[in-house]
Amino acid sequence: MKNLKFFYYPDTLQGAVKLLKEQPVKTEMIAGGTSVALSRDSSVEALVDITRLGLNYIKAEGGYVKIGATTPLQQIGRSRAANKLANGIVSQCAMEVASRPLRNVITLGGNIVKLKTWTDMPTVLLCLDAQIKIQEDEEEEKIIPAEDFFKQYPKKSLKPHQIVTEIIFPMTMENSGGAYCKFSKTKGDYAVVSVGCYIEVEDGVCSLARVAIGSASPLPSRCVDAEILLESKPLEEKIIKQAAKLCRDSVKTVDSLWGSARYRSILVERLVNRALTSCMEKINANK
Amino acid sequence: MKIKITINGTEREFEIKGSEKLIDLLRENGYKSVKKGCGEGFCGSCTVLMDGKSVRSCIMLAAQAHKREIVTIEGIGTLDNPHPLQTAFVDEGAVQCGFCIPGMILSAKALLDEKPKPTEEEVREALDGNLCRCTGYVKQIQAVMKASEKMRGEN
Repeated sequence: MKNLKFFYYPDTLQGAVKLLKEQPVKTEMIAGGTSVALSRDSSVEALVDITRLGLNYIKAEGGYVKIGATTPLQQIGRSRAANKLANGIVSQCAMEVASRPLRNVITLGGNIVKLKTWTDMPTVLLCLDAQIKIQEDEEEEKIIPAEDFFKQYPKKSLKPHQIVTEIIFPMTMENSGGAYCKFSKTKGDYAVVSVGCYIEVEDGVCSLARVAIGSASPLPSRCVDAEILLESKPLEEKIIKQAAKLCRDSVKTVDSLWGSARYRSILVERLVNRALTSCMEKINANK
Repeated sequence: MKIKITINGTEREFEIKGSEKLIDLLRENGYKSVKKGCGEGFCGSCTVLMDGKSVRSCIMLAAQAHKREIVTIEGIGTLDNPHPLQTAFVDEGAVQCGFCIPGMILSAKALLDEKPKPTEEEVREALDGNLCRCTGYVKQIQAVMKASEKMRGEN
């Protein structure tokens, strides 16, 4: 950021979008800054601070939990409203990121937009069918499902002036179980593989199954084959094992400093097994 | 560009380069307690409080702190009038080389300001981001627990 000359502090969303669109120099937005501050991009000459737009909130309304995009992960981790989702996996996921001083500034929007292989939050957004609200233009917004949002790198699909403003989670059902398992070498470290599962049960069988896998491949994804396998069947040990094996076989893993592709494949199977078993135990405990 | 930051209770105005980091601004203006360890946001020796919350000053642009309140350890106590956390760290033997201490104490202060009676687990979580190569953390956690008792008037 050595050529950074201008810094703006808009107090309205429309003002922020306008600044991002109309600057004659390369302009980006900054929230917590943990990614931007260390950036070596010397072509950026202006930054727009989006943390003062009132996008820091967590509210439960109309059957949804809505989280503003500049809400820090520490706040999500400690929020009663967020904790109500899927046995607390959204809050758990947030609290397993880094350490407190970093969670105090890393925002949910920033975490999902600056997507890297080791990014954590997308896994729970995917398994809970979250929706992402984007301010496309000064007066235009759109809402897209997490599944579509994470099909490509957000930095490529979002134009420089488009701002993620809110993440919307549908309230989870009572007859359900959610689980999140992250494997990292030390606590708070980058994820080697993370798995998020959410199961709803009706009349003794899975009426909804979601299996999301993060950090195993460049982009997080759901294992739809495993979900189809699980749905309409009773959730028990045998089918969980099959689903876990299916995930291992269908997810194309990558090599990186933190783990080989082969190791990641093994982890995928183990963590899916653990997460689904945890879902099953939680559902049985509710009965 | 000009920015205004309240540091340890005093509002100050600075002329900065856009790319300047908060840690450099603070150190150049006399707040030498803020240490540069890793420069990447991992070690915690650069920890300061911003609006009461612990943050990493080494991966924050100074411009982000405009109109915010920053607290460094210079602002929480003096040699004649130390903060209970500072006293506890000395009394419990929680200081060896001292490099990690300013950041560690500020993280502890942020916790105790929000939660005057933390559990040991909560102290560990709050201090998790402050690495110490000397002490092994036992005395530091003890010191925070002792300080919290003192601050609640319990001993």
